[in-house]
Amino acid sequence: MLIIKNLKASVNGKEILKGIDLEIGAGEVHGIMGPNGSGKSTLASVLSGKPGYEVSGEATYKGKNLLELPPEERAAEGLFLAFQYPVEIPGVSIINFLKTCINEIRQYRKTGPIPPKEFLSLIREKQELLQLDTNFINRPVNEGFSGGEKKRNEIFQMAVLEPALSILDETDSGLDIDALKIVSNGVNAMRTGNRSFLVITHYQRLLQYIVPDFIHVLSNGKIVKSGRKELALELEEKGYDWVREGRRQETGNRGK
Amino acid sequence: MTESNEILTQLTGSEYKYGFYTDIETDTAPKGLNEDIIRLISHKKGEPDFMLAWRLKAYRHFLTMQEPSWAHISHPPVNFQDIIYYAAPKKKSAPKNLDEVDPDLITTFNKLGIPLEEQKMLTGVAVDAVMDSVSVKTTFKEELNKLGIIFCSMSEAIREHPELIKKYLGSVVPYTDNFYASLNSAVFTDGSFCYIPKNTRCPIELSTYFRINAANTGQFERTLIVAEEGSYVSYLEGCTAPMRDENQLHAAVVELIAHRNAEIKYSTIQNWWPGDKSGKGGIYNFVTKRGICLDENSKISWTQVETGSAITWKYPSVILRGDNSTGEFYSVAVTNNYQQADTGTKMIHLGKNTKSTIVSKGIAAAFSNNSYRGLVRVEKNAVNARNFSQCDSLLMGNRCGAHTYPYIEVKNKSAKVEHEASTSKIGEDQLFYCTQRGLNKEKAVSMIVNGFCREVMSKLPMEFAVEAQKLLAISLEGSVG
Amino acid sequence: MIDITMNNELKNKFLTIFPNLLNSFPAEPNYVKESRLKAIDALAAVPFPSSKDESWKYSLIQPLLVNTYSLPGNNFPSVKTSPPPVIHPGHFPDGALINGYYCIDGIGAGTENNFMLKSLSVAAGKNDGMLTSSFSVNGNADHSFFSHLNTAFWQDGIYIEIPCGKKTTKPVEINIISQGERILSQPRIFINSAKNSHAEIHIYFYGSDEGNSFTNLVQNIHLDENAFLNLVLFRSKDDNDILLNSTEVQQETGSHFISHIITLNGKWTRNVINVSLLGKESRAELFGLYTPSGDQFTDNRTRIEHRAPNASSNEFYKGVMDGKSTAIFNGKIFVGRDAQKTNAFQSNKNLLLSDRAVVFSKPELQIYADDVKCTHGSATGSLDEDALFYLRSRGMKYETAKKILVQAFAGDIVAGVGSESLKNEILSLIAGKFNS
Repeated sequence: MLIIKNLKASVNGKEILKGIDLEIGAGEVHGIMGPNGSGKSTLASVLSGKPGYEVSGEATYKGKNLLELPPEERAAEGLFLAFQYPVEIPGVSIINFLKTCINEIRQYRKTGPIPPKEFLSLIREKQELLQLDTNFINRPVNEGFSGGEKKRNEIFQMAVLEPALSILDETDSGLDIDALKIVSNGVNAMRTGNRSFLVITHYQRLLQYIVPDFIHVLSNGKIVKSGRKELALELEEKGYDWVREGRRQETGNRGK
Repeated sequence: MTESNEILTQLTGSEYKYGFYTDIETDTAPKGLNEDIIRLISHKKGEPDFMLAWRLKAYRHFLTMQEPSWAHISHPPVNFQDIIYYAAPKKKSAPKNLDEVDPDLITTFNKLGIPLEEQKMLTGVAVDAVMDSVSVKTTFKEELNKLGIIFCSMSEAIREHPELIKKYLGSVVPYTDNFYASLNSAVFTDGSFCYIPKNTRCPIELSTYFRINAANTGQFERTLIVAEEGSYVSYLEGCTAPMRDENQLHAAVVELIAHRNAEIKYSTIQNWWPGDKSGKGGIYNFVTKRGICLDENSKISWTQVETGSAITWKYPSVILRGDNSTGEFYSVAVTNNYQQADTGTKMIHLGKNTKSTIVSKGIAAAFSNNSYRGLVRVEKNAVNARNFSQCDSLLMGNRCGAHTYPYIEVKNKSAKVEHEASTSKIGEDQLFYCTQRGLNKEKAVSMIVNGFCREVMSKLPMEFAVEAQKLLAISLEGSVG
Repeated sequence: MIDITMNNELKNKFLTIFPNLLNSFPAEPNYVKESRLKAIDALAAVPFPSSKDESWKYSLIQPLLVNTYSLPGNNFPSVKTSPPPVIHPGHFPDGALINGYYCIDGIGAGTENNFMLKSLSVAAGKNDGMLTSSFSVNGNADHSFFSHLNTAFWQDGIYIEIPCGKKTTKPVEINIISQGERILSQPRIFINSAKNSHAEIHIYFYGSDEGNSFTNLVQNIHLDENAFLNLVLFRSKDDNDILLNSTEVQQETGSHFISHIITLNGKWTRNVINVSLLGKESRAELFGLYTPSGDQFTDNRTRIEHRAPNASSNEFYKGVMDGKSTAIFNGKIFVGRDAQKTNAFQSNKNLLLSDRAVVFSKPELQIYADDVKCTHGSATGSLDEDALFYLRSRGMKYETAKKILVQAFAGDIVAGVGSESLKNEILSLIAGKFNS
């Protein structure tokens, strides 16, 4: 699904990603852990096409050169980013927002606008999944939301847009345990068939609920360690210093 | 309400502490303004010919101009022929060291709280003291000379460094700029000059104290600061004047030039005689202050605490010409009794990525009027310009006025310009909270006002912040709403 | 027909023709004649606007000067007998003015008895105190030159009264129309909201197809105790007309006034609104939206005077500038000594979509009472890059994302328009305008 080769990114001449290699197969869940400032959020931004980065290397998504696509085409191709800090968009209701998104994506895929009835039942279904009250979708996007509400809104949008590859950037931060469970349920409900996930987190906690197939440790702009899910526990126990300055080590088999 | 009024009366009842008059023999020119007076001033100061020519050009231009009327101030017309344009303390010969300075003068400065010798020893501040129109003594000169820093009176600079004066004087505030700047260019008698060479950090705060002593005297000083590439200087001016029944005119011009990577920090504590409780007397403070960030990464920061003067008309400004340059304006203006202040700033964004910050705190008490007037202009080529302005006013009592007149002009879409302003009074609940914790009302008021101004006060150099805080308390002694 | 050019000569020309014109209003009651004479004196004393006047500092005056206009001729005042053009198919306006003349045909049948609408010259025939004061020289209007001009030369206009305790069941609709080329019209509207009345009034400006006409409108609005009025002034046609619109509002105790001044198009517009809060606990809410593009010019000036205690005002103006347009916002809040416990809020936000567009914002506070809460803010910038990216990352094209953001930005200004159909009309026009 996604093949990243020697991906580098810098901002104002300062290199943040220093050559990332990563392969995410269809239906796989990958976790990326790492200390603050290791480049986790930059990786998410670069993959989703946020302007302002000088990027080199390769990222092939469904056979296409991802780095050449504008952000909206990446989204239309099924790539979704759940933001760490979702921006407030005053005056735009969630429902209007999502309807416009869906129809734009469908236009890209040449499938025509979504029938209103189908749209409403989709919204209703996902609202239940994320346990959102009915009025939620009439509120302006993220405006006046608590931290937890913002994160839940991100996952709600993900559920509605049904992306092929979802990148979750620190979705667990700012969530209490109940909200964390709801959000994880939302993600796990989508773990069907060929859908892939890249879960970025600082703590191992989230990965107890969204159990990954593989875990990578990012440090100083490089993946320094990759392994199976048990790596998360090991990290939690030994701390990031354990891998920080080390070279990339393989402690398990890579996925395809 | 009644409690507030009580405090107001107590606070406003305080006396101006700098209103003494020093009996020093002065050498004065006759009253009046004409070309002969200008020639006399130039001659007395032993100026080169180019200076006289410039003064006369300014005077001839001045004659074509009219007093500005747009500010929110009112006063009877100034009779420019009824002013003495030159008054210098008489001295036997130029003092070589402190011992030779007139002892009465030293006493005056001691009363002002700037004992030259002591200050020199204790605070390491270099002081250029200007009484009436003439610079009296500059301390610390030799130490500064070793670094190549020139810090001297304007008269001396004109004589000793004519090439710098020719290059920079009038380059930021041309003699055609405005009515009072033209007048100043024609008749200025002294002031300070400061030159910081390349890559030099001025190790001490430079300071000038201005004082108007003689009666019927106008003070027209001129300050010029040039910071060469990579240099830094922090400069402070303080002003006082004796109590007199008539109004006295002060029309100064200050020009700042910051080259690449240079920074100039200019702080003012203005405490000219504000007039008495009935609005009689006081200084008309009509001042033009402007700096230019000439090249990249330069920075100019104005900080002012304005408590004095019957009328203040001044807008310390920054022209942000160099890319990535920064302009700042932090101001506290307090008006009491019948004082009027119309003050603010202009930030002119010309270069790319230029930034400006404006923080203005106005406090109006008794019958006074306090206006913020500011311009933020983003020109066509000023890509990514940023401005943030915050203007807050505090009203104490119900006979005063607080006004805000921001002008925002944006001609580039990448600009981000934000202005916020609020007007309020000191909350009864705030006062109660403080008094319930054991503060008396006066203390509480002073604390709340100081809190209101904190953002600005924190920008003052340490040694003057304390003085400014005291000044604030004195000016408002009795004023809260 | 008399041709005049808008410049310093204009005044002299008007002063010369005035005696003749005065004779052509034989039926006019004396108090109206006197008001015209007083306005002529006032006009003689003020110069034609120039950029040296603080209130015209940023205004583009040049477009006012290029054309020569025709004044209505001898048979003035008069009524218009041909029906106005249909603006909203399927329904008639309640009142219409064409080139300043009152239309007697093609307007709503007036079946409702909860408001009264008639020609202003007819209403003026019955002297009542309210109208007398409305014709007084508008000393406060800050483009007083044109206000005086209107007071001296107004042709006709519309008088609306909402009687005591009455409530209109649907918005009263008025169309102000110009037809033909280079016509100068000077209509007047008087709205009298009696005690405890409740109304929404929509005023549409509809410029001429031929273009280059000049409308100099003066409105006087009085809200008596506890009256409620929601007024919408709407200009959306992309025409070449010049529109000056000066609205004076006086509010008594407990009254509540809302205005929506919306200028989506038109070559040159200057909207002035002055609100005096004369009665305690009165409330004014002023909303404004301007979206000039191309070389359009909009100038919005507001002044809210708090003259009584416990009154509140809330002001919210937004602009979206595209092309090489120019927009001005100038808002003043004045709080007098007696207006204790005033609550005043003012905000102006501007979105620049083009590097050739220019905006001038001047929010002012002038405050003489201490127990008040007054804040104002102004923010100018471009579209929020983070918001744009967020929308694009969800699959929207850049243009769609931009359109959505502009619509959302403008949307909260029209939220308070009572009529759903007008609200939707405005929103879809905005969407249409920024659909590229």
